Amino acid sequence: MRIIFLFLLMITLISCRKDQVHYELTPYQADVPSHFPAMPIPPDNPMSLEGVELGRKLFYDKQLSLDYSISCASCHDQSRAFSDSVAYSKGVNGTLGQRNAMALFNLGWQKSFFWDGRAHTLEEQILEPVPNPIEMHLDWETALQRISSDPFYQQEFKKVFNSESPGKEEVSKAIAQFLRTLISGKSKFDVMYKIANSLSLDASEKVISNQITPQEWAGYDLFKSLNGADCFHCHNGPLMQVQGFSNNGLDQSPPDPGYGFLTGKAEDQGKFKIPSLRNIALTAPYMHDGRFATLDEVIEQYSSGVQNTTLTDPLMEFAHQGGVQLSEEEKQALKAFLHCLTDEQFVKDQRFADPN
Amino acid sequence: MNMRLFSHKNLFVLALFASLFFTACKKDHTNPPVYTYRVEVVANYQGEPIQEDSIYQMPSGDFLKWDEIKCYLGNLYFQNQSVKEAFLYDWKAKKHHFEFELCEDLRPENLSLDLGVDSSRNHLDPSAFHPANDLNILIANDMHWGWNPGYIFLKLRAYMDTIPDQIDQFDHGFVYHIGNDENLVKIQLDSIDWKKEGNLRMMHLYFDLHRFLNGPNSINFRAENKSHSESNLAGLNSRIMQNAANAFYLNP
Repeated sequence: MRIIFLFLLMITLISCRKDQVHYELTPYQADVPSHFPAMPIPPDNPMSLEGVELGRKLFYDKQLSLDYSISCASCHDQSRAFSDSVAYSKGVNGTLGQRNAMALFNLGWQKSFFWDGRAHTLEEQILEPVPNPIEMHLDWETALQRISSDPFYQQEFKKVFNSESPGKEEVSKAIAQFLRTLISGKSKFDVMYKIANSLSLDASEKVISNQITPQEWAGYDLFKSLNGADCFHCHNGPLMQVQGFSNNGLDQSPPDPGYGFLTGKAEDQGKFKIPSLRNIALTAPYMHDGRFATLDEVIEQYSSGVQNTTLTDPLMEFAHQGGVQLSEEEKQALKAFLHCLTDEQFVKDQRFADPN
Repeated sequence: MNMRLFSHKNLFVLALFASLFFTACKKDHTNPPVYTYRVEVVANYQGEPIQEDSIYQMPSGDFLKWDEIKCYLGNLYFQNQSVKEAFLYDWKAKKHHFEFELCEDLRPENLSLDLGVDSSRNHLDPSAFHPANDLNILIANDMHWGWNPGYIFLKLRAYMDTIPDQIDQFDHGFVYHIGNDENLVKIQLDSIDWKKEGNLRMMHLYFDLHRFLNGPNSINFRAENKSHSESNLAGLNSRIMQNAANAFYLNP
């Protein structure tokens, strides 16, 4: 009978027991601007202050590359809105990448990652650059050995994931937590967006609203005008982008299939993820292959350089005439507006800087 | 005597543990039955669901392939009971149905809805809607203009082959992006045929694009092949929306 009692007692105590908590994590409240949607956080990777800090450390850690020469931040420089200054970034041993490094901000709202959209979650995306031979070129097994033998990481992974020997999924989750904090939503454009959407301004935004020049307003009008620059079909909303893929008429015959490689469909050849135009003045060179060095070149492309093919996005209504044919004055206005998308606070925010 | 006493004690403790064990994680079984109602929107062409890459003949004789069929269905009422603020139908993304729950097996007979987003919601901050609401900007995505005119109510895009030479050459097409308050159209449909499967009630709402092309308003799809709700195209916008509203029906 005693055995039965002990057995029942054990079952009763175990059945409703809470998991043992080793460390009380501090929930991280993302600093989401009032005109942004709520950020979707994956249920299996809730954000904590400790997780974000761990992710920041990993993002800047060169241990994650084969020869300790580069970190994620090497190709994603904060002063350039976490993009690179060259068309193709250099990986370990100087190996060149094949597409332009994308800027990193507002990633928590993205529905696909990489220019061709091959990753569907941020956590999935982060798993790729470490073992990629043209990037960090370090197999995950070695990367995890390095992390597990580092006392700092032992302690922090124990805190955040209750594991001193994390797997690559935990490393990815920590970096994802940090990347979700990279929110850019305090530019002059944000004030213009609020005014255009009849949203209320706070005191500091009212000050900024008085600083917006007629040329910048003219550029915004062109930006969202069908008969102007016609940019809004792909770049709109608070994120300044539509979640989708487009062939924007760069080539008669796209040398890089982009999204088309994934889908295998003829009509998707040369389509690439539509990027946000936030901080665009900081993220040169432009396009998936970094072919344009300046904003002037980009504006000229859309004005007169569009290739009208069966693959060109049908929303580019003036492709048949090579583009939207802007006057010199209009080009300057559009450029002035594009500069309004720069978020100076974001690129100087010490919370995102190298912790070392 | 002692043995019997011990035995009663044991039985008591045994019963105590058993009750603790079985009640600790018990589910609540007191809820009344809940009926799930599913509304499946089907974009079809002369009664057949539209397939990607399939070629359809237009009433004019031209051929076309559908590329985008999206619309907002707003203010959905069944028998005067509001069941959904807005549903974004997206044919290509396979966002085809929505569900709601009722505690009664009502199987309402009438459905009223808007093709579009009514003005009381159309100009609100699209980021402020609940993340699960189809009006939230993350779900709306390219169905919002990005500034005050608000949501795009209807998006239709198709590629056309206008040369009857048996060679596929879909190098024409039409693109309609219709929004603005004045273009909202109300739809009233009667005699819903609910299908029953346990506690699930299902109905189909058909959107026949052949009907859209066919009328009641005449549209020259070769010439009137673009609209983004421009005020100078008010007549075309109105014809497109009326044709689209006319293309919704309940029973094949």
